[in-house]
Amino acid sequence: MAKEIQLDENGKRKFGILDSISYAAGDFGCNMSFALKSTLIIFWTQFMKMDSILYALLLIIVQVWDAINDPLIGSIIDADKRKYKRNKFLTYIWFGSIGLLVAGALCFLPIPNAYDWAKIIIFIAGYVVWDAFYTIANVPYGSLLSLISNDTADRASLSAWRSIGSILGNMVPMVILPMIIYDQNNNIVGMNVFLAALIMGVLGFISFQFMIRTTEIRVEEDLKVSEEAPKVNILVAFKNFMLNRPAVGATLAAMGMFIGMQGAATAVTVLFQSYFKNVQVSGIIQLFSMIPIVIFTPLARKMVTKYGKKELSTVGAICSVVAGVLMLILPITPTVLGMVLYVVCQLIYSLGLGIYSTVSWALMGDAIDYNEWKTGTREEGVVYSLHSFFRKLAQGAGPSIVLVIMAALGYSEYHGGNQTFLVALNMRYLVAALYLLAAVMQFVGLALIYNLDKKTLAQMNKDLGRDENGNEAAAEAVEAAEAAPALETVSEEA
Amino acid sequence: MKKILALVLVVALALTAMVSCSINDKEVAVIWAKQTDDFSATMADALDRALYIENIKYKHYDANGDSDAQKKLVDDAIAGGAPALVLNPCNDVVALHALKAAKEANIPLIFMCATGILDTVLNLVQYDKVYSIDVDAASLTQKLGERIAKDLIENANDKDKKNDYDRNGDGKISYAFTDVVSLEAIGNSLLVQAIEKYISESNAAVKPVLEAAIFAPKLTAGENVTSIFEGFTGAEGNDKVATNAELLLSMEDGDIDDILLAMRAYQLNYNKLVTHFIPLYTVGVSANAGSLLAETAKDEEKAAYSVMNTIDSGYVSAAALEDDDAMATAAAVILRNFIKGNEPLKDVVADYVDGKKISVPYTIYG
Repeated sequence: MAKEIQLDENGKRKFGILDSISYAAGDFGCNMSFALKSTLIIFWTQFMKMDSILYALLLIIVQVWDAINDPLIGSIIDADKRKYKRNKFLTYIWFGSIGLLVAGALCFLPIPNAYDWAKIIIFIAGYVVWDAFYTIANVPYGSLLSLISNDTADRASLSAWRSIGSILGNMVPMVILPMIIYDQNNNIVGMNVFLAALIMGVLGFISFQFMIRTTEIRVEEDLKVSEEAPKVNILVAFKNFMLNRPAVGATLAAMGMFIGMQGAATAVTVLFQSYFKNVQVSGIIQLFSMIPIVIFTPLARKMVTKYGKKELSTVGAICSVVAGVLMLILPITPTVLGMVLYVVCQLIYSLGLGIYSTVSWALMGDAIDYNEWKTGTREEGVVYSLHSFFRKLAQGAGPSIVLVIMAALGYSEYHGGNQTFLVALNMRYLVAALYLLAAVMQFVGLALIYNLDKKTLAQMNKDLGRDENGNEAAAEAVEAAEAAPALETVSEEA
Repeated sequence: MKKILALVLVVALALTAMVSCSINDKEVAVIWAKQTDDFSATMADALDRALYIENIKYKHYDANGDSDAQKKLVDDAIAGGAPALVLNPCNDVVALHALKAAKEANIPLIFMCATGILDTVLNLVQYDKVYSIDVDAASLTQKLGERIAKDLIENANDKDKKNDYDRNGDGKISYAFTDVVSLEAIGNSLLVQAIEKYISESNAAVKPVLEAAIFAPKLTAGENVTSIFEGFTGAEGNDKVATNAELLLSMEDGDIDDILLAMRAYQLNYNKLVTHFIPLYTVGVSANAGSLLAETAKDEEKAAYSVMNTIDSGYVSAAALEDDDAMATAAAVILRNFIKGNEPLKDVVADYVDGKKISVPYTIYG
C-alpha cells in the first residue's frame, strides 16, 4: 500500500525530509560541475602545455567575466515575466542542468597539440559557456529556498542540508578524482579529466532532475534573483564601507581565506606531485583535513553564545597562524613522516578555518548593524555588495597571482608532474607561506580591525533597541545564512 | 592576547632553531664532469632530494667537461673544508687525483656513475673511505629482456596461435635495432639473448619466435628507421624487400625523437586513432631525451621531453631507466653515516652492495 502523502492547509505536500534531501541534491549537482574547477590550472598548464603566465592572464580575464556574468544572468532571469508550468526558477535550473551535461567538459578538451591561438579561444569559450550554464542553474537555486517554505525552522533545515549536499559534492570528487586523473608518475591524464567531467556532468544532471521533480513550491512570490543596485554614489559608498571597521575587518579576513586557500590549491597539487610524489593520496589528505570543520560546526552556536563571534573567530585565526608557522618551520621532508607532519598542520589549520567559517557571514550581519549604529542608516545592499565584490576579487585574483609566483619560483608546465626537486621544495614553502598569509590576514582583520567584541556588540544592540542576542536582527542573519551555505567551503561561488 | 602571541613567537623561534640545523657545518662538494648533460642533470636533481632528506648541506660544482678544471675544483673544495666529496669524474686521471687528495685530507669520497674507475684507481692508491655508486649494467639486458619477452608472450593469441605483434602473419616477430649497425653485433646481442632465454624458460602455450630484420644501416637512428621500413637496394643491384620490422629496439635514448619522427612518416606510433603501433623499447636516463610533441624546438623547454613522457603518451612501449633516486639515496645515506660516525654502509640496501661498489639495478618504466 503506497504511503499517503501528508498535505498542509494549502494542499501542498507537508514539509519534510524529502524537501531537505531534494534541496541538498541541488547543491550536490552544482558541485558536480564546480569540483573540477580546481583542476583547471594543472590541466591547462601541465597537460595542454599553455604558458603559465599566459594562463594567469586568461584566468583574470575570465574571472572578470565571471563578475559580469552573475548579475547579467540574474537580471535576465528577473526580466523574464513569462509564466512557467513548473516554476520559473525550476525551469531555469532544468535548462542550466542540460547545458552542464557537457559544459563542464568543454573546459577540459584534451587537445594539447592544438595551436596556441586555438587553445586561448577554446579556454575562454569553454569557460564562458560553462560559467553561463552554471549561473543559470546556481543563481535561481539559491533563491529557491525562499519559495520552498516561509517557516524559519524549515529554511534553517534547508540551509543545513544544502551544506550537506555541498560537503558531499565536494568530498566525493576531492577523494576520487586524484586517483583517476593522475597516472602512476603523478602526471595529469588529460583524457581522464575530460571523461571525468562528462561523467560528473551526468551525475549533476541526475541530481538536478531529482531536485526539480521533488521540489514543492509552497510560497508564491515574484522573487528577484539579482540584487537591485541601489542608486548610490559608488565613491561615497566605498568611503562609507572603508569607514565601517567591522565590515573592513570581516572582508579582509574573507579575502585572506580565498587568496590563501584558493591560491594555494595549485601549489598544493604540485607539492603532492613533485615533492611527496604521490598526488593520488592528495584527495584523501584534503578530506582528512576537513574533519575538524565537521566536528566543530555543531558546537558553533553554543560557543558563539558563550564567547562571542569576534573572540571565537580570533581564536580560530590564531589557530591557523600557529598551523601556518608550524608548516613553515617543521621538517616536512618528502618522506612518510614529512607527510604526516603536513597532515597534522592541515588539521590544526582546518580547525581554525572551521571556527572562523561558521561565523563569517554573521560577522557581516553585525557590521551592517554597526553602520546603522554609527550613522543612523542601514546600507545593507551596498555593504553586502562590496563585501561580495572583494571576496570575488580575492577568489579570482588569488589563483592567478599565485601561478605567477609559482612560475617565478621555477614551476615549468613542461615538466608536468615531475618538477625538479628544488622547484618542488619551493612549492613546499610557498604552500606554507600562502596558508600563513591567509591566516595572518584573517587575524589582522578579525583581531585588530573588527571591533565588535562581545561587550561592544551588547552595547550596540542595546542602543539599537535589540536584546542582547540582537533579536531584531535575527531575521536578517537567517536570510544571510540562507543566501550562502552555513559551511564555508573553498568552492563557494559568492 | 599579547601573551598568547608572545608564547607562539617564542615557541616558533625555538622550533626554528632546532630544525634548521643540518648535520654538517661545511658543505659537501658535489663535483660534476658536466652537470648540464642529461644524465648529470637528472642525477643532480635526485641528489638534491636525497641530501635534503638526510639534512646534509652541500653544493654542486660543474667542471664543464674540463678535467683540469675538475681537479682544481677538488682541490678548492678540500681546501675550503668540505667534509666529503661526491665526484662524477671526467676521466680516471681526475679520479686518481681526487682519491689521493681525499686520502690526504682523510675525508670520504664517493664516485658517482664512474664505471670501472674504482678498480683502476684502487689498484694504485689504497683508501678505505671511498665508494663507487653506479648502475648495475648487467641488469639492463636482463630486466629489459624480461619485459619485452613478457609483452610478446602476452600478445600471443592462444586460440589461433597468432601474435598481435606479428603483422605479416609469418609466425615470427621480426626485430630491428635502430642503432646497431652490424649483423654480427645483432647476432651477439645480449638483449635478444635475454629475450629468447626468458621466452624459452616460460610456461607460455605459444612462444614467440624472434627473427632479425635485415636493413642497410645509415648514419642516424632516423635514417635507420627509414631503411628498416623502406628496404634498400643491395650492393649488387638486387632489390631487397622492405623488412617490415615488428619490434624496434633502441639502445640510445637520445635517438628517440628522431626515431619517432621517422616512424611518423609511415603512420606509425603517432596518432593512436589512425596509426599503427610498433612496439618500441629503449634505455635511458629518467629525464630529458629530446622533444616529440614540439614540431620545431623553438623553445628549449618544449624540447625537454623525457623518455617517460613518450611512454606516458603511448609512443614508446617501455624503457629501462637508471634508478637515479636509489643511487642518490645510497650516496646520501653513506654520507650521513660518515658524518655521524656510523658504519658507512648502514641502511644501504644490502642487495646493491658488493664491497666498495654499490650497483643499483635498472628499473623498467612503462
